[in-house]
Amino acid sequence: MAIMYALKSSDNEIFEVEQKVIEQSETIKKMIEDGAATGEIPLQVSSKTLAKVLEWCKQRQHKTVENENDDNKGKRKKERDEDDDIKEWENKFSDELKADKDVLFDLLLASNYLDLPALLSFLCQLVADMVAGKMPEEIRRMFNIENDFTPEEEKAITAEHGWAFQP
Amino acid sequence: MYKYKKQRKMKAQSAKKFKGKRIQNSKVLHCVPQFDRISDLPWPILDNILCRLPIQDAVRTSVLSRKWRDKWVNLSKLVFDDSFLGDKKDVNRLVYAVYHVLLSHCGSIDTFKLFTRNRPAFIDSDFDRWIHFLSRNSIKELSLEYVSRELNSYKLPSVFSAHEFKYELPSCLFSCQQLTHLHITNVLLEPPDTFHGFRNLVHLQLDTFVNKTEVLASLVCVCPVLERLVLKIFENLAPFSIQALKLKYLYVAGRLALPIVLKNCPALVDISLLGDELDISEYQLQGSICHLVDDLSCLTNLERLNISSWFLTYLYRWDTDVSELSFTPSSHFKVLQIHSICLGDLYRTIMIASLFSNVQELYVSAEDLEQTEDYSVKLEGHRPGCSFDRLQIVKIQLAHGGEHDLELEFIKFVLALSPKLKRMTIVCSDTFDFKILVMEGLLSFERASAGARIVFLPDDTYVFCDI
Repeated sequence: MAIMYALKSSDNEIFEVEQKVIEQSETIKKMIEDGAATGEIPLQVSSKTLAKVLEWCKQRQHKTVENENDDNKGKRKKERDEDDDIKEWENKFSDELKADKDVLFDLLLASNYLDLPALLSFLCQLVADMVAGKMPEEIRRMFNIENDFTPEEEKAITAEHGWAFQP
Repeated sequence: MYKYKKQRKMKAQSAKKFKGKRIQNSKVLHCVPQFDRISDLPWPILDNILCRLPIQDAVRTSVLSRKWRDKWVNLSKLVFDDSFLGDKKDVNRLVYAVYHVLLSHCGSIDTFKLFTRNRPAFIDSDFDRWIHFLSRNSIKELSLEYVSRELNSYKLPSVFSAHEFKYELPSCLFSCQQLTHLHITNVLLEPPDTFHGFRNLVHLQLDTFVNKTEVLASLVCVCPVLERLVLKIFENLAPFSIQALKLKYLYVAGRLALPIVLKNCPALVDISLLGDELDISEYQLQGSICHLVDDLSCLTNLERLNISSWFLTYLYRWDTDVSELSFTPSSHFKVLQIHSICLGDLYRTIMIASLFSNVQELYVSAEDLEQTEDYSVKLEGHRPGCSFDRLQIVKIQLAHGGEHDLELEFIKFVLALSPKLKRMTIVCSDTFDFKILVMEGLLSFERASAGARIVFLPDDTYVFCDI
């Protein structure tokens, strides 16, 4: 029987989760080890975000469990199919985040706070891929960044880092 | 001032207009967050994001807004890739970029990497200055690479020769005690007399030529926590001894002369010895066989051995009796991988594989090389008195053209000797007639394992996993 823990979101919603799933979070793991986690574990994460975090953790959990069980690597084809499934799942996950960037940023902050390195690097890569190769105007539009430079200032900065702006 | 305000107002209006248009015409608008959230992310997260961008993209963020003006100057990783130069390959621009970034940078630099596919036109003094600067900035990972496409394979690049662009590392690098990763291409290694090792170095990769193998050996043995050692050596490498208590992963490619003595590497898990053969005398060869086999017996954690076929001559001469070799493979041993086997060597391959009695996975790629001795007789009449009791997975890439009878004979052997075989993959890119011939054979051969599945891949999409 798997040990279950109750996580409490900042808006007081309770999530029942298997220990193995939440132990991916170094922060929660430490809380459990320190004995601070009797009863509900209060977290500074909204229920909407926490649900998303747990969705990710469960997917990762499946991945690692399957790898452990598969001690012979004979099922190369099957493995490849599973990798494809995971890729497909990840693509869907990232598409949702791209569509709702507020969730993306909530998730970024949550993965940082919960110390989930795999999720954090996945999200950072996602943002980096969105930004890479784009011109400043496109990036501002994408993330609603207000340009508070005067045109002269902007020109001066562009000139200062000329090599980076050349096509 | 008034003019500026007016401009801003106009801009805002046009933005509104733009937004309105988008609402009607496109679904994209709901992607835009209501507030600017990215600018206020904590620095560790932003650093993580910016470090994943090509350096020029990271620098360009300076123009986004005032908040962004100086974010990039705190980047913890600086990775320069000459791809941003486009087709012009103006190396001067790359050199300028490196100077510009290093001069503007604030705070510590954990990682500095420079990749360029060109023949490096920068002069040694540039490198010297950068390394001086980085060594004062407690650099942890340093990588200076001139990546030639050819370098990614174990076949040696022909463009490099010992006389071209040698660069002697400045001595200040040898005092960088924080270094955990060092990867350098085309350098002369001359540690100063005061050098006492890199205390924290975990990963060392040298794509270079070595003037003295003693220097290399002594460099390795003074790195107490070294776990990964990758040597791609562009010239003849004299026999040398590797002593590294924590070393887990060893990859050596080049023109090698054995013995590479591995006795003092108890932690080794994965060994790759790839490359071309040196001309050596018969006498040396005799001595080497014993050395390497002895060494392999001592490696109690070894899981994977990946070798070029010519090493087989060291491990096993075809007139040697296997029973004479006292060899006990590590109990963890799993994977044996042999590249570019000359067809005549298939017999020898069987004998070697049978030495590793507990091998679970066997990967073999055959090449139709000119053979001097007639092995076919041996292979036909002889069935070794051993079997592959644990062998589960076999992949064989057949040679293109040439003596296929030998290959079929080899497949027949493996099938007959492997009671636990689960899967055998045959990769064949030869003529249609030959493919049919192989498939006919595969159907008729006796199999020791009832559960063995045979997969025939008619192309050569299959490649050995390299480093």
